[in-house]
Amino acid sequence: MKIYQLGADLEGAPKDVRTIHGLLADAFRTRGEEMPRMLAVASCESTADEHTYETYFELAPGVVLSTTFGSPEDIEGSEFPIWEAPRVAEEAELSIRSYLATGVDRLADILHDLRLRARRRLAVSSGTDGAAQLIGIRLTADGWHVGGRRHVRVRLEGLDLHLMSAAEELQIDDLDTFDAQIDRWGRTMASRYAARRTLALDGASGSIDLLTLNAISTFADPAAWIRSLSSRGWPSTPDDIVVFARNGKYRSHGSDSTSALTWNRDTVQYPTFVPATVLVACTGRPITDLIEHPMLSEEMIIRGATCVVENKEAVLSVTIEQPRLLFCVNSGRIWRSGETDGISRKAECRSKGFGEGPIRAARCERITNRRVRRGTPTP
Amino acid sequence: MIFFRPDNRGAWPRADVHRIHERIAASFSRSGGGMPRVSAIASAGYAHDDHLYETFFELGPGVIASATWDLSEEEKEELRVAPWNPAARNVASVAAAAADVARHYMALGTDHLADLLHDLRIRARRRLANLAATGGGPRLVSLRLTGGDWLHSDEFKVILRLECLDRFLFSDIVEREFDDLGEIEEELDHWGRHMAKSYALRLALAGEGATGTIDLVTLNALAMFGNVVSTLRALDRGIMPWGSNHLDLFGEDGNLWSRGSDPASGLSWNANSIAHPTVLPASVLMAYAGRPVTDLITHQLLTPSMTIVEASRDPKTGTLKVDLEQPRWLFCHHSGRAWQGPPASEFPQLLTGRDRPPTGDER
Repeated sequence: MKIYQLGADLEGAPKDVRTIHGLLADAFRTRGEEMPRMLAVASCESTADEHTYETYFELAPGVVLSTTFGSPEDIEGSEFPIWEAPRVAEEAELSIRSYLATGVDRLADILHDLRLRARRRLAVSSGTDGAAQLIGIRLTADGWHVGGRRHVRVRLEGLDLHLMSAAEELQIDDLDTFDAQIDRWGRTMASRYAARRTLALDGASGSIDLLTLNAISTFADPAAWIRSLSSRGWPSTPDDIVVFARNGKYRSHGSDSTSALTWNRDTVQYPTFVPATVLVACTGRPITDLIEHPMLSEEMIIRGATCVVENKEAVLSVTIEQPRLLFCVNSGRIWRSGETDGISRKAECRSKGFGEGPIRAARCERITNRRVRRGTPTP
Repeated sequence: MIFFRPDNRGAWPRADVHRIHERIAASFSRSGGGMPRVSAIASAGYAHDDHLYETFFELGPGVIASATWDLSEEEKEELRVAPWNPAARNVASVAAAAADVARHYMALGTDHLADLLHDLRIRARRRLANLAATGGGPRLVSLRLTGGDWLHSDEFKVILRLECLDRFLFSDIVEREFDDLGEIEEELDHWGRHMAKSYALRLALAGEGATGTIDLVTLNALAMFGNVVSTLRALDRGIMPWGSNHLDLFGEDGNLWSRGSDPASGLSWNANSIAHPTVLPASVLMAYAGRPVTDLITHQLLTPSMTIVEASRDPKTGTLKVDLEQPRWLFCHHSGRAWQGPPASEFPQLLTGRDRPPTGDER
């Protein structure tokens, strides 16, 4: 999404923005009215079948209206099609007039009341100590719903699925459900903040199950993969492996490159026949007793197993219990929950005679006293 | 700072940062060592008096070291010829300093540094997580090694990037530099407790639907000399709005206060203290403690809800000096509206103006 913040004189604004602004100003001027100030224009990067265009207007102090215009045209590139400008302006004008009919003072009161309600509800019900926050509320119109009904978009500060700080928007089309929707979002955030705290108490920023880690190891260095996790996007995976996050827990489903082994979270399927008598006895034993595969480890314990024969093809389906590992997104290190320090770190430290436990003051001093030799600038 | 990163082909987007990278590469190839990856170079921008650069190296997985360095005096002198043209900048000293910092840390061993930083990250996360029961509150964003000429010393330093609240309780990110690793936990505890108070304050305000508080004198002064709505709405992260010609605004802990004067009546104020050119005997003034300020001075800025804590005579001029306890009103910076909160007895910390010293110079 590209956002053009408009100054008072539209200086530096792209041509399409100036065109829309000019059309609107004319429309209001011919009726002898003053056009509300245009604050910004957000233009979504166009995809093959969609190109949306969001225009922000300030109807009164604190009363901001955004009108969205979606173009069905198939457009290449991110350039806005200039021939659409009259339609954007027309829709914007309709939306503005529809809201202005309510009266700006009334709208200001409504929005003020909604802001207060949102803040109060998040403070009281979300249980995040106020970490989940209201950023702002604006009126919205998308051309279809105008006339009488009011729609708002609530911008909120919370955590995304990676447990990284992120802004999110809730579209609320029915103001009667406002409180309920805010509460629901607040509860979701409460669980995310709680998850983040639990991880932070272990010094970690996320957790990953062993099968997912093994799967990542087949195509990438897991540390590098974890370090490239960010709220901006996901690091790449092969098409047949899907890694997903929920409250900082990274899990996966997919299949190996030969499509023999498939898995979904704690369930593994493999095309082999195992007699029922064996299956009964294997509960509590490592999965590697049944299936040999690079993605499977001895620490994955069988909780249940079935074998189904269909069309003369046997499929073994095993539910496992597997370790969940903690990781740090900055360093990409992975360690076991319950252990106080990173295992890799501990092992390395020991081999260097580093000593266990927290870094001691003496060590810090030694490092502190090393100086950078500042050479003269080389020509 | 503006951040520059190389594109896929390794080209840097601006001539000066490109040359910094080239010179660093040349320096490493001369010394025959492997060169660490330069992940970004930040520049303070085009400002005439700002020539600061920060070069970010990735020495190992999660081992980021940054070098902050200014142009040398001679280089700055050269700049006078073409101050706005980054292409013309001689950046030799920046590149040399950056390479030095990278070499310094590489000499300590990147494996060792990776261990050290990992340990610090874990410790910092734990310390901060212990402060808030629900996972809100200050948080470690990232941590890096640094070197440069800030303190004219070249010691081992780390910078912690932390998510917190600013003085108006907006979410903010600050960087704190430590050169003694032994102090980090203690400092984080201290800072974190201070921050936890800000978070608690924001929560209490949100419970009232508000985003901040404003001293009543300041609110009245804005109404008299400026514009309440536009001033409150202008509040934003890192931005202190302009009050008017007659008053300067200040803020801390989500509260807006001011100092200023009314030239027409000669009344001036600074937070909770008021000076007025009335001369009254000291013995009379003693009796006013605890009474509404309006009993003593009649002025548009003053209302009966402001109580006199102490009224005295200025020893030099003999004029009246009053220390007040004044209510704070709640406000919402989106709409610019301000309203009276619940009685101060229910909300003492937030709504009475006696919890800070009467003077302050943090603008």
